[in-house]
Amino acid sequence: MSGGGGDAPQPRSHGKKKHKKGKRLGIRIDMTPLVDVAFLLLTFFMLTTSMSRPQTMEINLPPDETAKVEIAESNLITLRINEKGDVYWNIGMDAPVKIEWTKLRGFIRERSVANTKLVTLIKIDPKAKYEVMVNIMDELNQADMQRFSIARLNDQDKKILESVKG
Amino acid sequence: MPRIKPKRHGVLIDMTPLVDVAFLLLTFFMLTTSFKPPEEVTIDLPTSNSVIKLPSSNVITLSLSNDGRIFMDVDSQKLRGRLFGKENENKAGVEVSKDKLGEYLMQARTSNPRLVTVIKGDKGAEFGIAQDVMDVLQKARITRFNLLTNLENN
Repeated sequence: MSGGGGDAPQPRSHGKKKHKKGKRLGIRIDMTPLVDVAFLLLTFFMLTTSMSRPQTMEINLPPDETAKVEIAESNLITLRINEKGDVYWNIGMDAPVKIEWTKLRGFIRERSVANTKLVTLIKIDPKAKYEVMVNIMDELNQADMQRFSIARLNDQDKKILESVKG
Repeated sequence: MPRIKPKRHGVLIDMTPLVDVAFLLLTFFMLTTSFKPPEEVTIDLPTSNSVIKLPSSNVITLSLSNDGRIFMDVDSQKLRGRLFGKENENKAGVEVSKDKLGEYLMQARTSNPRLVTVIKGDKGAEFGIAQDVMDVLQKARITRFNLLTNLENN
């Protein structure tokens, strides 16, 4: 490359002085620095671009917040999550039972197969982590349970959970 | 010496196609890259198995930081300027209070009804705040929104 670049000007000046003697040589421009810069920029943009868009979970709320659905007690499964992120489940007015996160998906799937009318109510302590909410929604989605409601864990629920522990 | 001379040719590789491709890629990456202004808060996303992708434009982002603050951002600079004033036009989100949030959402939705609302909550944010925001969304008649998550790797 450098040899070609160095040769180029010589015949040209030669030709001008001695009129028609100069051969027609193609002008060679040394593109190396240009290419260097181009590749530098290319690598920069390639490394800074993040191609993947983040995942999202889609939520549809009922349009009217006063909407009330009447459900038979036996068709309602309540999942209560305390501040620490422990999950307790119960059906109707039964006493809550603690369940491990890892077993939750299979459990929900089992229950929804056993009773197709089952409606899930999730009650989460307002002090619990947001991650817990996302996790439980994800577990339910994985278990094909698309309809559920989410509410805050109130004082009454807290008392119920206390009584289970004690 | 004269015998050797004609044989000594520098090897010339025609780099033109290489350069063409390099420039093509360069222009592509330059045009597709959009630089984000520094974020107001760093948010550590929770993980989920959801595979729905976030739309690339027309998004309202509600960020919930782990210290309980709410930040609102829209992806169009023009709308951001109109909502939060000229001085906040280039910021990535403006802190809003819970009470004002509904008002801002309404304004944003009236100027662009196609806006999609996304909640970008930190892992460590409190559920109570998320629930408050969801209540506001429901009151503002935004019944369809997305929760931003990372892909769970297991």
